[in-house]
Amino acid sequence: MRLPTFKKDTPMKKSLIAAAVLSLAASAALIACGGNDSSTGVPFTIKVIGFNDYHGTLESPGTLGQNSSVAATSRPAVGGAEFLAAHVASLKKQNPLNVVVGAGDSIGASPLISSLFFDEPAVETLNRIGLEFNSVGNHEFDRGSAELLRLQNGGCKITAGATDPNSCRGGAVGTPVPFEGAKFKWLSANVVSTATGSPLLPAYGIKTFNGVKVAFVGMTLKATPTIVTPTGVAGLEFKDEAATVNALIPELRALGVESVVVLVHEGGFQTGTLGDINGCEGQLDGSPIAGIVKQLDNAVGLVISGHTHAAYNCMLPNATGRAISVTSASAFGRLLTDIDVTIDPKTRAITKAVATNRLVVRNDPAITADTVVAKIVDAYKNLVSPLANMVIGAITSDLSSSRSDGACNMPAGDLIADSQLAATQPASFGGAVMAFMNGGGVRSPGFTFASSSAGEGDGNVTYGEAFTVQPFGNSLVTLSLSTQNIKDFLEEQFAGCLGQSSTATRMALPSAGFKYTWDGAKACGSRISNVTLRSGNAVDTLVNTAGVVQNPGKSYRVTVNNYMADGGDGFSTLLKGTNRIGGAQDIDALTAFLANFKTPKAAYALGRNAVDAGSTRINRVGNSATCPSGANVNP
Amino acid sequence: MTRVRLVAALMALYLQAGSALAADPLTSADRLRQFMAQVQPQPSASQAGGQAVREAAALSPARLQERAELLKTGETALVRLDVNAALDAFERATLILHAADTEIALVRSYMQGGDYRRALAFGAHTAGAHLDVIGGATLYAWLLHVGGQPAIAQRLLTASEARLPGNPVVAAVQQQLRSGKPVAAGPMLMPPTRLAPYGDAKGLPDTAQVVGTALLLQSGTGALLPLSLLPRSGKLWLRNGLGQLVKAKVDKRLNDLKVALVRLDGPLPTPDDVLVAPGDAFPGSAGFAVEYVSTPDAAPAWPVLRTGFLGGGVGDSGERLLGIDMPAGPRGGPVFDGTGRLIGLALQGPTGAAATGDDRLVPVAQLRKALRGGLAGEQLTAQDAPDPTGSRPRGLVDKIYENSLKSSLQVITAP
Repeated sequence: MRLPTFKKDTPMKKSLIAAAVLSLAASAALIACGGNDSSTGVPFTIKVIGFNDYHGTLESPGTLGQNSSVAATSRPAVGGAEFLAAHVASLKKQNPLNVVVGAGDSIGASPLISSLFFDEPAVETLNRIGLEFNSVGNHEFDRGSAELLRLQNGGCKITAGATDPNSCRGGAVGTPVPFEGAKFKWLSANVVSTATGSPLLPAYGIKTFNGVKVAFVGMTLKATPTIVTPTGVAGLEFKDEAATVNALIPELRALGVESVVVLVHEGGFQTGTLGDINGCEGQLDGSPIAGIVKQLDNAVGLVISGHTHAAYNCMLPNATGRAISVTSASAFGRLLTDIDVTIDPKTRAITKAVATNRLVVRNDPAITADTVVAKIVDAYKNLVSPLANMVIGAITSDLSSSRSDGACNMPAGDLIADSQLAATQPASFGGAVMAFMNGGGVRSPGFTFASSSAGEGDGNVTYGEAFTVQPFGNSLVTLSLSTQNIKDFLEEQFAGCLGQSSTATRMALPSAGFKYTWDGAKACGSRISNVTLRSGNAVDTLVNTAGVVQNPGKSYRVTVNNYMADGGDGFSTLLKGTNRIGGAQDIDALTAFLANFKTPKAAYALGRNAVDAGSTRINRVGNSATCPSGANVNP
Repeated sequence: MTRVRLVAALMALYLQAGSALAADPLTSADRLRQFMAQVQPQPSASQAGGQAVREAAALSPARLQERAELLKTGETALVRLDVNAALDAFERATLILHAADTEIALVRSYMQGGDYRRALAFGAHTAGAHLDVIGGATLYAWLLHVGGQPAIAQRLLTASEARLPGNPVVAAVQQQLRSGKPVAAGPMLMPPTRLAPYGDAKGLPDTAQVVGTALLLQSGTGALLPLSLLPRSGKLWLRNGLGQLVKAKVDKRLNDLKVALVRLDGPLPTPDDVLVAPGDAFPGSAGFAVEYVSTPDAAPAWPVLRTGFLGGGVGDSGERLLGIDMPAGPRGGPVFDGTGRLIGLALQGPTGAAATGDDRLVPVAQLRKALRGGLAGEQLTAQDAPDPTGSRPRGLVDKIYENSLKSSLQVITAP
């Protein structure tokens, strides 16, 4: 039986062939495996590794047994992208002539960890699992064909004219492309655009093994429009599965292909309820997949199916009555089908296919989880946390992470230093009287007044925004420094001074109430003067206006982050700090501090802290507007 | 008639319907559909669907009957809290037909067994794969909400409302979730989309009520709860999120902390890996508070997890603010840090009003001291030192919630 659209000389046929040739050029024709010499004529075996209905199941979906007679409590934990990748890799090691294929529904109806990010995580993990060819399934059309094409080709999801905040998170999860798109080929032989008459995606892909071409034809069930939201399949026509494959056989033969594997998102069920993963009870009698196979051309040597989430391992008769292997691997990455396919290089045809469904167990000591995939899963797990968009406080204006003047003040740094002092002021948390934040630890862009894409509203600061400014996970350290230590610490901010790098000037940000003046024109060790610490109305002078330390041995409790406390950013003086007490993480301190400025309380306003007495914390002799950062300490 | 008794009557009706199915499969299938129609409104005509119907049409009456029997067997097993038997029946049913009711039943079975993460993952699939059956979406939204993802739950319900405008079940679920104190009632308690666990009610009088939350500890043999929840009658029961009920009696009153230690008549299961923080959590750090909604009856329910940032000290009183926004309530539930370690017990603030932010946290250090180290028993102790420099693992909220199905308990009292 032929579809009308495949009749000789019709425009449809020409366009389909053109599309197929294009698809060939784009994918299969370029994939080769093993040598290119089939002249020995000795049959060889390739390993086809198949699975279906992954549904973006990055994390283990639980357990599965060899069959349902295994008590639930005795079943092993299975699945999870990191173990799926590891099992695939293990199988591939068994035979260098291999190919990894899927039978659709790789995306859609997926857990939050994938669906929240428009199933980009599903694609990114499948890329690393090693999937090469994948049929479309009905769920590939859940968000429409345009979205499917985006997932195939890469690029960000655009919402309201801008990149959706939940799209293109590759940089955050380490892929590292914003969104790389599928490196595997989605195939849709029987899904035709009604506008162009061409398949939406390539009809098939070809991989060459020892010089023999094997074609993989991908299809979804013809009934897809009946089970997908109409908008998802608008402008598409879904054609009969078997007729589509059979119509492609002459074209494939013209390309020298005699080995054809069908990846079809349609399936059936075994009879009974034992569910042996390698059984075929009832021969899938009356099922859609059995009906399709019964019509297939004899060139098809293997069918990898899906859709029903069932596991089976069958030999079903094709149109000639010859029994061919028909498999399905349950769903959610719980099983892999391991198929050893024998090819006769003389005829270039599949002569045998021996399939085994294997559990993707997580407790096999010989199988170690794929660390690359595991990191991606963990990273997305973090991103899906409900914490990110919670409002933790409010500000009245932008607090930039850039220096606001030539003296090197920094609004965002002031806020952070204040939060660190507040967190460590109680005696039990350190008894600090001042805090310093290293400027390099305040990340761009600081705190922005305008609402982010999360929609928290102007002025509100979300935890995610705060985390962007303080991403290092540093902890606070409160230590005792003498007045002289503090003077030295301030002096060693300047390039080449007291052990500081000769090429870097690093101005730290003090907490409220701490003020000093510096003069870049003076020599190392004499640039700092007029250092004061205000508490209420009392002002303690540490260094006078002439630069003389007033009480060198007096001890102060000072808070910095652990990076600085360990001498980071060239602040070796801080290594002299004694009576160290470790404290909260910097982000915790910032969150706790901003809670004091959360609606209905008044928002945080720069410079309104009473102990700042209305003036900047860092002051400079002269009127340069350029804050030094390099070797030149007085630009 | 109390809510519990009403549901029991409806359940009996449901199971009777199942019995009738066995006698006449064709009629029974229709009756099952009719019954479902009563408790679960059908999608609009524009809604894509029909996969299960299409596949069911290919099944023999005998297979349909076999499936109906399995669903009935599974539901009956769930009612008696036999999760393994329920799973066995429902999984066998999935091997006959790929249908929403079976998947929803599996999701509820996972929840009944305390396997929240599995339920959530599979619930997501059911919601996405069976758009024609609203129960998949409402169950998934409910699970997201109680597990600490209310914003995403709302988004899902909004999408469901757009798909099925005016659907009463969606509206009812939406109303409950927006209330901040979600309680499943009426059709929301009917299978297949029952939005609560089944629960043991043995020995509970009609007047029993859920009055607050307790924290399971000491290897499942003891629990802490606010002093204010202790009944004058002495009639006290505790029930976990798996529906398991046990009587309890007061062991010790810790008046300074305003909590009581109670002894359970029999042990309840503990989570495999709940750890206790070695010290008190810092103000501003992420926290997760879990508690049950108080109700005028003693219906079983899943607890609700809320996320926030821990508060600081209250002056020099030695008290700590909870910091996590909660609706008005008696509290008593566990509070966990961002890594899932127990960091204390939530107590109602002095005002007792909602959104005043004066709820208190009784930190683990105080609990440990008051109980002389016997805070949690061997299964709950872990003295792993905090990593002062490293990034803390985050995103464990679903794991935290899963553990809290066992470690948080409904406090049930009777006059």
